[in-house]
Amino acid sequence: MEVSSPRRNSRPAPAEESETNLESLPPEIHGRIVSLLPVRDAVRTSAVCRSWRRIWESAPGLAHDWGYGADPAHADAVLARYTRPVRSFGFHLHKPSFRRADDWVPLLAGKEVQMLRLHFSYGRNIDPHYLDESIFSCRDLTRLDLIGCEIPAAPVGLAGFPNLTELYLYDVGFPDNGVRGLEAMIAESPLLQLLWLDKLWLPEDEDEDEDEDEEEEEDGHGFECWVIQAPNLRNLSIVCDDDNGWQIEELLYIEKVEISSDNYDTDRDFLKLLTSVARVRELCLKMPVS
Amino acid sequence: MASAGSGDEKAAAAAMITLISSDNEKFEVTEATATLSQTIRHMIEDGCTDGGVPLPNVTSKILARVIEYCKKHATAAAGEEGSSSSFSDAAFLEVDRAFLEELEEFDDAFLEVDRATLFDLILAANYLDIKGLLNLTCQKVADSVKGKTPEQIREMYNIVNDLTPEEEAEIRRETQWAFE
Repeated sequence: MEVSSPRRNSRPAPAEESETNLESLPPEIHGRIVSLLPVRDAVRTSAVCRSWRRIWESAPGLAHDWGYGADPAHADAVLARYTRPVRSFGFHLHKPSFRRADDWVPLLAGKEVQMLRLHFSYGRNIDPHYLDESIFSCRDLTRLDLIGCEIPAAPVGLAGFPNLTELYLYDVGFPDNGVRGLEAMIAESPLLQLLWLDKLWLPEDEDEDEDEDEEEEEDGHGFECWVIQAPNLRNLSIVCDDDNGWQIEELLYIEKVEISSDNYDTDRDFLKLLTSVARVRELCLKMPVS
Repeated sequence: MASAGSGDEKAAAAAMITLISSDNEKFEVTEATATLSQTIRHMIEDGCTDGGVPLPNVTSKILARVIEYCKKHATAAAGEEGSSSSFSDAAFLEVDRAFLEELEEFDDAFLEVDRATLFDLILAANYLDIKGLLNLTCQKVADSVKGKTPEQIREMYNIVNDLTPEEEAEIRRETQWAFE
């Protein structure tokens, strides 16, 4: 097979060879190239020459992924000028700026955001941010990654996301409807393939001390029982200090499971757990015997 | 859908398509290879490939490279279809992983071309609507621009700065953070 030998010089090609250069490519190719750059680099191309000045503003699929320590005002400026649907948006917010998210989420819902990463700094003295209800209006989401926030009750009929394939929740709570909110979010996202639940705060059942007669609850730590219903799930990770009452419905396509819980419910039905993930290829259970 | 697709693949395996470059060179390729190009796929669907497919925008030098890419990736696409429809098998996964690595090495080596060739490949991938090749080649250009100042980009690609000093100052003022 003929393979042309690489020429490493940067001089223009000889006349008999192709004279194609970057400038002669059609505008949609320029847009495509700029869309593949990190957002800061993409914006910087506006100073290359006149025809490049506004390429980034309409480069389809440009990822608005901001690194740790980025200034929220820069994300605002880019969102304000960007004219296309926002494929991807990611930001790590620190305490004084948590409320920026309340402007971004409804704006991003309108811009058909597909991949959303919102991390709120968490810690002992920081109240988690109560997320705007418009999170449930982001109907195009395929990937949602949240850290350090509270998720409100969903409007009727909008508990899940029809196209969501990956859900990552770390240090997240559901103050309005507890495990039911989480359960519905998973069950009503039918395409979910990856679910990662780490250190969720789920309210303990308040009735538990006084009366333990609710027999459908298989819990010993006072957590309500809730079920992961995700028919297309491939990859499941659960990390929790206390067993928060999760159960798994049979997962037909499951490939990888990782569960880590120091204080799991001693009444847990392991036969049922293993049966529900019987098709798994990789299984890691860190549930130490105390 | 997967079963219908693999049925078509089998039927297509024997079918050959002739592609004709701008300098009138003929290339015989399998339909599976040719249909990585959405443009050619549509022509086949419309039944207008008898007597060969003229590609007046693509030279023989570039078409040979494009076909090289399509052959390799058509094999990959066929492999993917097979593994997704069959049930979990660890050996299959291993094969997949090894093949993906091989494919990555192929892509890296494929991109070892001079700039003019790279741009011609981009134009061909765009015209033939070969998504994977278009992404691969555009990513190569994007990577070369990453982390560079506007001056460096101009120099690298012989771009004339036609912004007035005032305009350039304005751009830098508006988005100063991007230049720091």
